[in-house]
Amino acid sequence: MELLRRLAEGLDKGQTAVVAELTAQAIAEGMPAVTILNEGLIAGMDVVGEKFRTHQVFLPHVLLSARAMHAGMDLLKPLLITQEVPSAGKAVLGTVRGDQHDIGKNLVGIMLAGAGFEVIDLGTDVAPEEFLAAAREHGARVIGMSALLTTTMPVMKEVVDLLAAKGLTGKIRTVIGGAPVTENFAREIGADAYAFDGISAVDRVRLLLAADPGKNL
Amino acid sequence: MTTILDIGLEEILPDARAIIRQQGVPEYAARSPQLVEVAEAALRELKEKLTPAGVLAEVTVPDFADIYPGQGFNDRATPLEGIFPRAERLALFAVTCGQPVCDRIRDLFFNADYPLGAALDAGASLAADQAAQIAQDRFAATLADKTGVLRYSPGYCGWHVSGQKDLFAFLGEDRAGITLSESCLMHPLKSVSGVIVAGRPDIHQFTNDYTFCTACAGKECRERIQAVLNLSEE
Repeated sequence: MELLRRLAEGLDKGQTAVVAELTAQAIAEGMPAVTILNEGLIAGMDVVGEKFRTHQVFLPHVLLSARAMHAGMDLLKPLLITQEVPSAGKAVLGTVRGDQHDIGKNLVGIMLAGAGFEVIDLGTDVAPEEFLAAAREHGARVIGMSALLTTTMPVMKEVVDLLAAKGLTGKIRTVIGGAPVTENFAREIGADAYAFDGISAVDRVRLLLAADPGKNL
Repeated sequence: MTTILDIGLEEILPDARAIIRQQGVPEYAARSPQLVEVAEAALRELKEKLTPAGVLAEVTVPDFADIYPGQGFNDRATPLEGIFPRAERLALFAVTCGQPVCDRIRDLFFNADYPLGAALDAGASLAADQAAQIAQDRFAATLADKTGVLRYSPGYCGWHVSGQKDLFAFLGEDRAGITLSESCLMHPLKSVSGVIVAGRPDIHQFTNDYTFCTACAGKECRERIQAVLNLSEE
């Protein structure tokens, strides 16, 4: 549909005003919220994500699109609620205890929200028990952890171990990231996934939520 | 004795190009007008919101030997423990970009202005690093030529972030307005602290085969050490 194509294109170009206007138009025309979300907004963000992956665009461009996405979502959110459109899933996010670097974690949150996930952002300096408590309280099946300091990376293992101790391994999945964090480190500590950046975090969380609870990945 | 550092805004202000590069955009990439506009807006915000401050305090090797172990959470082996005992002089430092810029970054993200929030965050990080460099340069200015000077910070290279507690205790009341949280994290967020180590350039040399080195994605330490070693050969 032409309107949705233009909406996705506006998102790709990071045009906040255009996205807001076209979203409002789609709503006014009576288009179902889920269609506007999936075929307009998320479709546009997927294009941006692919361009980011292939280094055609870089982070600031993605953020322009994310701001446009937010403008569209602001208009769409009331309809998603009244039309009972479920979110793509819930994820708890935070920077681990002893670390207050939050830009990477914020970007992951923005990307996840842009992909239709409900994000519970615990902020920075988050203790292992807080991650677990938030995941339980909100019924989130994914915990995302960020660290910028090599000295705080071990806290990620504490969270993984805590989940194991509570019998929640496989039921609540973990994804980790941050400048010093690597795929190998994720494997070593038993995390379910490693995400290099906000875009790959979206891919990983989608995979984790699609996996059978309890199944080893 | 703790010295208050007078840090001028112009001394730490990055340019728009550096802000864009700091956000991961390579030099070869095209810079769209939108992108440049955001970086320039961030620059204007920095001029308005940066309130740089800093302190510097010389410390003896024995005193730093008491400070360095912190709360006992450092890695089992760290490069700094082999470097500082050979230093000729040491100084502790703490510098900050101030609270207003940190508040502004938080507000921008809260209000979904992600492009400007991220650009301002990148610019403030550059400014904080530059303020730390100024602290190092001011200390270096009191030293003989060709002294190898490098700085090290808690949170990096096996020096646990809890080390900041003893570091700030040594600095005393004059802390450039920086406070520590219960987890020993600095507020305002865009602050840098650490120790400046001065001595023969070769004391800074170490092999990056510590346990934390394998996990560290940034290898800037190699360039920093090489730059100091080059100094002795000039």
